[in-house]
Amino acid sequence: MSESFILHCSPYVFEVDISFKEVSAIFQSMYKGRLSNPDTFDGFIDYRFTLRNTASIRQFFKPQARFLCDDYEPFKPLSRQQGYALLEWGLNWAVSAQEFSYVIIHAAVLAKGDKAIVFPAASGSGKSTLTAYLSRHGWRLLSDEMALIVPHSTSVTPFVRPICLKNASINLAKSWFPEASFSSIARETHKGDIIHMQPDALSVECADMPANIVSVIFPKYDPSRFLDIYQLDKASCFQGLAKNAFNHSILGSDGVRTLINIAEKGSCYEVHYSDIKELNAFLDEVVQAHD
Amino acid sequence: MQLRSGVHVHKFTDSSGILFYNIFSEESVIVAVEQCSFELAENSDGTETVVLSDVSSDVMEQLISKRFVKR
Repeated sequence: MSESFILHCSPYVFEVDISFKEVSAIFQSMYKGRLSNPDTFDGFIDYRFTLRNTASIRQFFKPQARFLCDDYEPFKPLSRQQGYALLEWGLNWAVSAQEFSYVIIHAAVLAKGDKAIVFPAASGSGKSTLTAYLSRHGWRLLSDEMALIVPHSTSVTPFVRPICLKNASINLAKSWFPEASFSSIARETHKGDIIHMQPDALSVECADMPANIVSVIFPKYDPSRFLDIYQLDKASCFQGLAKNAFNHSILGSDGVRTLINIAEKGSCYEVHYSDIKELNAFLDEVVQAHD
Repeated sequence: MQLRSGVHVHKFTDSSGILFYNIFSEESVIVAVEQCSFELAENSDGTETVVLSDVSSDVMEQLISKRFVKR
């Protein structure tokens, strides 16, 4: 038996079919208020996903979760306890690999009002922990994973989804936000132990409100340093954006011009931090400078 | 000297560099503004062509090796 849902996660609509009860329960908790019944939905569906058990006798003694997008299986199956993480990764894959109406950058995006800061960063830089903290301290979450930028503009479209936290960040986030809703821990994934944290209600409420990028910040958590801020020139900003962009080359001149436009119009910094509160105060100044 | 089609050129407004980006090969190079200059020449059909001038030998070597310029 599987359960099916329509997920309204602006700017997309997904149909999701889940065969595992516990994954279905987490999914409903993470996307509370944004799900509807496929039987009564007659709108356009952008992507169809299935999370199902392996076939044959294996499903009884060592069940595995398989992710399918329109019957295409981009990943190898994972253990059942990693099922929810697999679903979220599959969703990332579907959008980043197939979406060409936006320039997509691997980055977190947070905003105050309509002024957004983009945080492109490699895995392990503390991006998601920073995102989790800021989204509960006065910032609006637009995305933890990918910035969807309208070509030839600095406008970023929200794609509000659960925040993926890893390893040491798991206990940290649970102690910071005891009232927040978390998924169960997916243990021993290729990224270590991971957990998903439900986005805050305000960010979900504002999920249709785009924001304009006023700054690009490359964060790096480093416990051995105080807050070190380096202003980057526009050429370095472009290089950093291009390095983290998924599809700018596929979009050709539209993609390149969009990255140039962002580098030209916003400020850019590389920030090494150990105290997240200090960084938050700096980010406030960055946004206020564009008032 | 002219750029091949598909090569974008952009001088950053803070003079931090001039970007050459080939949208077909996805290769790029950023050079110092002192090492090259360019202007846009209008063609008879209304399109524009980038014409390079004062290109240093270092930059020239890079542009040729990446096949960014017509020889």
